[in-house]
Amino acid sequence: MRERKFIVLAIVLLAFLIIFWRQTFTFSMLTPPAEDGSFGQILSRDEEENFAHALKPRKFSFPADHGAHNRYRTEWWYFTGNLKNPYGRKFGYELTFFRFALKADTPPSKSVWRNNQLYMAHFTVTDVEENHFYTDERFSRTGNNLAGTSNKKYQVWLHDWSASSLDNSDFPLRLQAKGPEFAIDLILKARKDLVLQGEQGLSRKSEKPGNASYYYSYPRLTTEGSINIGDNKFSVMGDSWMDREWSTSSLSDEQAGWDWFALQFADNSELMFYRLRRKDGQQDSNSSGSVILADSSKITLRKQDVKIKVLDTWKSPHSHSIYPSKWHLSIPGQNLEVDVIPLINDQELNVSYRYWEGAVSVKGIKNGKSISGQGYVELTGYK
Amino acid sequence: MSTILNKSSLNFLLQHPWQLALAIVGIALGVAVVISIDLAMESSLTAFDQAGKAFSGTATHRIIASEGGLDEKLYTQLRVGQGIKKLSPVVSGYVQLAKQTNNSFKLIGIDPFIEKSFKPVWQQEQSKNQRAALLARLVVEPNTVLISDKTARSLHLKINDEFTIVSDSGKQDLKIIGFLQANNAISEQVLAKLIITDIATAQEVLGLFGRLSSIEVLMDNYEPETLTKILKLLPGSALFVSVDSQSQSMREMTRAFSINLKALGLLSLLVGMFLIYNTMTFLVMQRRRLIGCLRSIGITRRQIFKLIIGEAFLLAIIGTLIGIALGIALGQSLLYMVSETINAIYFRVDATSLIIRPAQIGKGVFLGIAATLVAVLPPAWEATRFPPATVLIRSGLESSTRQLVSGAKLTGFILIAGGLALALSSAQSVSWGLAGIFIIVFGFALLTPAFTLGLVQMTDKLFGRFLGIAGRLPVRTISSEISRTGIAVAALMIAVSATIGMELMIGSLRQTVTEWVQASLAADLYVTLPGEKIIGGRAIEEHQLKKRLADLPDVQMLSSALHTKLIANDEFTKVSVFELNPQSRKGFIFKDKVNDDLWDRFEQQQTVMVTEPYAYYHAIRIGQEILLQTDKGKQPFEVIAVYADYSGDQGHLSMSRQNYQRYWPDLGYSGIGVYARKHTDLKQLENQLYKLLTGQQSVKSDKDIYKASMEVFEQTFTVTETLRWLSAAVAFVGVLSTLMALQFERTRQLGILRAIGLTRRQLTFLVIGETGLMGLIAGLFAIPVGYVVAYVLIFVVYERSFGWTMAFHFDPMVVYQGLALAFIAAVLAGIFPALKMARIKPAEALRIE
Repeated sequence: MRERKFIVLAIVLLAFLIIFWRQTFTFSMLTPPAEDGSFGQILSRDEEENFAHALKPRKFSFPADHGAHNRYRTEWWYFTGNLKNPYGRKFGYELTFFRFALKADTPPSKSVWRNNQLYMAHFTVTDVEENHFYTDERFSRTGNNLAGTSNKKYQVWLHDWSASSLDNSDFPLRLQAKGPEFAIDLILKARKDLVLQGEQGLSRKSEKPGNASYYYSYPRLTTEGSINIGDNKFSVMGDSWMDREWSTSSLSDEQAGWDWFALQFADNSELMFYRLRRKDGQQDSNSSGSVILADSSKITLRKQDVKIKVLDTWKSPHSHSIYPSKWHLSIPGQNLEVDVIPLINDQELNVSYRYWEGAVSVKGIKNGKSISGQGYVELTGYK
Repeated sequence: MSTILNKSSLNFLLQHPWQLALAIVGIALGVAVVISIDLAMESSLTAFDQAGKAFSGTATHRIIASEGGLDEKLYTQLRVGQGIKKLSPVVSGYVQLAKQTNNSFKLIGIDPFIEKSFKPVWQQEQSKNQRAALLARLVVEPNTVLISDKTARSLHLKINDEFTIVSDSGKQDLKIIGFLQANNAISEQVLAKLIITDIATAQEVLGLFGRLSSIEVLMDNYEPETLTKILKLLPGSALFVSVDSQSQSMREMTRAFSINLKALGLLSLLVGMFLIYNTMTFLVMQRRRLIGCLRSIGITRRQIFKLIIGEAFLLAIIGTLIGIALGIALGQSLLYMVSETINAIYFRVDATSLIIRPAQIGKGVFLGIAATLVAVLPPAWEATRFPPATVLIRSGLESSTRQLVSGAKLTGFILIAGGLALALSSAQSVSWGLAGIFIIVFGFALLTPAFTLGLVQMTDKLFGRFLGIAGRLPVRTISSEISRTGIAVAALMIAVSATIGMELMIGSLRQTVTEWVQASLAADLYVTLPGEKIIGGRAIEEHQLKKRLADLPDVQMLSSALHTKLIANDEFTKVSVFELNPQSRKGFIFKDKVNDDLWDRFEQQQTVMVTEPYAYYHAIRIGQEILLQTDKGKQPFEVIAVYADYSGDQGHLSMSRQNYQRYWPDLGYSGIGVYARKHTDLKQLENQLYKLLTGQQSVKSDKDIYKASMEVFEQTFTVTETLRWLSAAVAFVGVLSTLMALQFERTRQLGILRAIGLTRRQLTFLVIGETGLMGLIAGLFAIPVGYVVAYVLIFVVYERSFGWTMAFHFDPMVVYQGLALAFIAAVLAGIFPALKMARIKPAEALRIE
């Protein structure tokens, strides 16, 4: 499912950097990065050769693989979750750490700041009752321990935002992040085991060798902890989802963006699917996903296995972009027909890189019985 | 009616172009000096402030450390551990161009990934599309930098060009990948002396691995939590200060210096005021008849008063405008001198050109116009005071003036006494001390007419009979026209006495400093180890060097000094850390009697010695304790001695290296004194030492150091010297103007003298003799006044400004020079009118009126 991200990734990567520089540094960036010689030098395609590529399935080894793979250009640690307080008040959150290698190599130096690994993190909380969406982001290079990962345990941090194992095993994992007026402090425990996406964790993006990522997920993490909004502290419980992915190759120019669905059903099964949208309006053939059954077994979904119909749209008052805001998903092979509805419409992140990533609820029919669920949807490339 | 009045006024003024021109020159020079000092001083400090603001952006606070900087881990602790978001790490230092070693730049390493809310100049000034990528390139490509396009142009450098700089760690090529573009004149100024780079490059170039120069902090409002977190982690060697208070304390530091300079500016203006007063009086006197007539035909006093004030106002505006233009030009050259002095005794400033602010121009305009109007009040009042009939009689004026002279004498004595009392009782205030000097000098100026009369009468009595009529004429003219001559002599006296006073003061200080430098230079050779002192690498190398020096066969013993800063009373205080030997101990000149056990206590107990300025500023006495901040909390150090030091006016402490190492990290040495064995060839030893040195390290003989110290001293006083000559110039113009006016006014009288047989030569003698005599009188009177000025400067103002005590050193040359200056200025001022008068035919002269 996250393969879409993959593709996107490279496009995004360029866009990211450009936009992030622009946003961060308040100067206008009118031309796209590809047209800019200096930026091209940093992220030029020929530099791809200097990076490692995801060519064939690998043997994953944990906890080392929870740490950064600096030889690959891009990497992320992605947490999303739907939570409730004891009175049923609903919250959503996203905490994502991105790593970008500005260059494959870092020249030797006695300065710890000499480091080309750039981390970015996004943190959001959706307060459904107040219909409010909080966002914040951070940047840092890894030098001077300002950001980084561990290969001894699950640990990734950027400044004071972190995801870190409480002891030597991967779980329980503690997520901590604090924005200007909102914060989370959550303990995650794996209810279901890790799932290797794609082909034993190798998620191919196209036929070209190396245009792929290494990629695994924890589709259901029991979550407990607290969310702070303003001066209020809410004890919360619920389920989270974690994605890990690293790659080097870039997206094709034809892709415009993607819609990604990560849904957790009440019957303890999950669905992930990403639809890659092409600039010509067609769905890219690389769209794919998977169904994870209650017993953790995985069924791969191809583009033709899933039909998505947009039922409604929402225009962002911030960016004036129009996003789909209600979908009907049908997966005939699984006897699944569901509607996916955002908990609130405005879950657009207007940070360095603009996208929509929000908590959703799911209602529908599976095998003739009504079924409900929750999840997260990510929408990129909408204008 | 008023149009006719104005016309008559204008006509009259235009008929006296010389007087007009000189009055305007007087105002212009006075205003120019005041403005130029203000602009130069403010530009230096503004450049300092703005440079700070440019890279701190909106930062409100700053964590700063002494030599050696901050541990970069502190930043991680605050950012990662405590989650304080709005922080910006900075690594900075000075580098010189390899090709122009006198051209230095501040290299500032920043982290482009900091919060955007800081808005520092390297973010703000960018607008072009490629700019964003430049910051990424700074991070990715080592040794890439941004500089201002103005600087690049002046160095003939383009984008992608490389240039070589020299830092403490050696030479390094830097590549320009982009320009910083200024959006106003001030930021252009500031950017011209900056090189912006990534923090990693800055650490590499400056060799400051593991260290930060400062951490900028942005606290939106009052954030007690953030404050608590920062203070909790703050090491003993660091301070958390607000940006405003830091810039405030910089200004505070230079306050005394600034006041002294501004006083010199005001002195010029004061002399200028005499000039204006004089000219306006002349212009009024010339029109006594006209004014009398006008009054007779019904023009009111009010109208006459308005007319005179109006004229003065016009002159003031013209003079002030010229003064502003002159002041800006002058300010540019003063700026260089002022910033050199600030660099030498206070802190580093990089002022390249004048920053002109409306406020300062406004101040100049106000001062120029106000001074003119104040100076013109007496003649304006005078013109309206007399009833029409008496206005027509000149002798009326002179007889009333004579009454005034004795009144002035009394006032003069009162002012002198008051000024002295003010200066002596003004506690620590420099301004009041200087105000005291002004009042004293003004008081003496009021005594001048009486003194002049007395001296002239005495001359007449003593020598009159030998001089004959032609000889007596100039002498007696002075006394008969005392209302005019008295003022001229007073103006000249003020300028000359200020010159004598300042020269005596500088001479005394020079003598004192010479003795001090010579006493302090106990070693034969000095090894200087420049550069930022840091823990680790460089310090270890310096220890090894010291050991190698000690092992040289010709070296008998060593001494060492480390100049650093420690925190006392929440302020950085300069501290010299010494390893002394019996020889170098003799270099201290103590201000009080010290006990025999002084050196034992210095080495073995928790003690410090303080310099005289330090003791003065902090009102510290022997036996008191100073609390110094350490990582183990505040530690008391007992003050055991106060010693002379003229290296700066903020003062510093000194402690033994043993004491220092108990609480603070080893930072190596700033200098090592080498004491040779007897009969060693010092030149040869110098060569041996030289071979052991690396990089920027150098070896100097005591003579070199002495020479360099005295050069700094002389440089420090360049500004003062320049300003002194400027006020002398104003005084000269004043004397010229007064004497010329005086002589022109006497055209008719001289015509009569010519008519009754005075030859041209005699006439020339008469005029020059009169002015020369006035010059001599001014010069003579200026000597005691100059002494009093010097006395107050040395024992009141300088001690208060800089905490320096010095011995009064009398140099007779100064007196001769002052006398000569007054005489020559006066004779020169007499030549032109003398020649002109001599050329006029008697009949013409009589007709002129």
